[in-house]
Amino acid sequence: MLLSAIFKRGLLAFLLVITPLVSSLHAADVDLEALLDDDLEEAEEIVVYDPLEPVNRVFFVFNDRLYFWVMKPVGKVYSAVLADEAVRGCIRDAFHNVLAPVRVVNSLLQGKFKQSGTEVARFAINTVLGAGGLGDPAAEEFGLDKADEDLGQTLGFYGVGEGIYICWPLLGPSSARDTVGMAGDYFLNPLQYVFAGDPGTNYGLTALKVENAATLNGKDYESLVSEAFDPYISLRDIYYQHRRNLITNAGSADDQNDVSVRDKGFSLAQCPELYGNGFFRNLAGARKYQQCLKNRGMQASINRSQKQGRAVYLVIQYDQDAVGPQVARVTDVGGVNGHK
Amino acid sequence: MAINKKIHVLQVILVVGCLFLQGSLVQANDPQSAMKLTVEKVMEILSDPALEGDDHWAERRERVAQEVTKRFDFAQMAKSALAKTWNERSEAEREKFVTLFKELLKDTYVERLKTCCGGSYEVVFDKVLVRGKKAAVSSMITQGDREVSAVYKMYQEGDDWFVYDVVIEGVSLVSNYRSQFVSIIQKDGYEELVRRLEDKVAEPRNPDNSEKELS
Repeated sequence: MLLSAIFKRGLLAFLLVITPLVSSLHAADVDLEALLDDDLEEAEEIVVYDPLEPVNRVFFVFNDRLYFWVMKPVGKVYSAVLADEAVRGCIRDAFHNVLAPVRVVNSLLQGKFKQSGTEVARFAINTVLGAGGLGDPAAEEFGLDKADEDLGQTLGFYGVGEGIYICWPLLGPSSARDTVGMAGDYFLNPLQYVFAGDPGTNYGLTALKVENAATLNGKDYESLVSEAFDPYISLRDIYYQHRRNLITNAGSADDQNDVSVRDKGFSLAQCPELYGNGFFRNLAGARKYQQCLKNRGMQASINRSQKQGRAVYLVIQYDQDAVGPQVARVTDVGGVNGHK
Repeated sequence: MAINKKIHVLQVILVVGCLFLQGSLVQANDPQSAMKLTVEKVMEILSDPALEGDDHWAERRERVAQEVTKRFDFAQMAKSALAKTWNERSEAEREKFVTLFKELLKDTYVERLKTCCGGSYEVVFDKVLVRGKKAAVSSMITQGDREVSAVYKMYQEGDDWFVYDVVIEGVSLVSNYRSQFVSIIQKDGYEELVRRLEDKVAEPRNPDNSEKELS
């Protein structure tokens, strides 16, 4: 009793300290600045070292067959049993939650202290309030969004190149660097230790995790394969683009995080270049952005709203010449329609 | 609750007002409004009860493709997807390639709308970055508990803005095609690439079968 009381009080104090420190993060943050660095006249080609291509292609075909011949049929049965997509979402969240040590350690290794604090808080909240990570109250109630970190990203953060491309059987696309990362992260996976003496359960859990993800993401993979000219090259390119984006953009260093915009990278220094609607997790950020627009003679209003149970502040910029604000489907943010 | 409702009512008024203004007052002379205009029009077509069902599939597809073609510069995308090879091609070859690539992207876009966003989905434009004659317009597409970020890379010509690349979750569509095209050209030559494009474009596209199969 006493222990649990101490634990509860400790957790509360911990949350009160941590929560205001962290700002929102999104795994798919994209640096708009970097996107505009391209040259319309001369497109650059991304160089990928793939000396193992013949072998990789064999494993790619193996994985592809595995998906269409085994995982998809199994997935159909699995989805029929767990018909509710929300239940499968819970299972995905639980696997994500248990791997928190990987993200905490790698955030720390990259000097992203706020982000690692967020991960610790997320783990605590989701384990306690979300019944072992089956839900994501940390994001829904506390506005602490998911991040994505692993050792491969940490190595990339410190300038280690990808090395050669490797398509592993079962594990899929990877690179020499990310393979080393995967091996390192293996030791941070708590399930490894919990089920150390029981490899059967361990493999079973891994299979469940992969199968569960396949039922949720299978459509994406199928449209990728059907649309591509060379699915092998397409997947390789998507893997590299995705990884490079994660390393350069997701969760920047702490000093850039003081203004929390839905998709990061907004600082007052950038103000002269920005306009349009802004999407904020906190009122202070919304006010700053509104002020930034006002300084340049633009009108903007702040609307508080809810999105998936979270408070958001939408800054709507008015066009001076038009009668009303220019808004596309603002009704969406009302949280009134659309959500299941 | 009362405040929420008030905001909601206000928003409906605003949106309805916007629809009326679209044709007259609001000009697409900044990239975000330009993109919004196109997205709004596509959504209108997709939610038009007169165009629902398999019978109207071809018409719906054509109408969406029309809107998309107005905003997306497929010729620039084709050029960029071919990289260095573009400079080595003759005028006639370029023209043929652009026509094929346009058909392909039109089909892909419409196909994607059908499979990815069958249910109710929402698009919120959140940020714009303008640098000279180029802009990145960022948006968030939400469906159920899934969020997908889409950034439209645009350039200015005269008073209007056109899309030259789409970046989904950090993955550029044009770069992805480029990596495949370059690899095919290196291995089998340019002619083989054109042949494969022709095959792909000629593939029959059945209305809505992928959805039925998966659900």
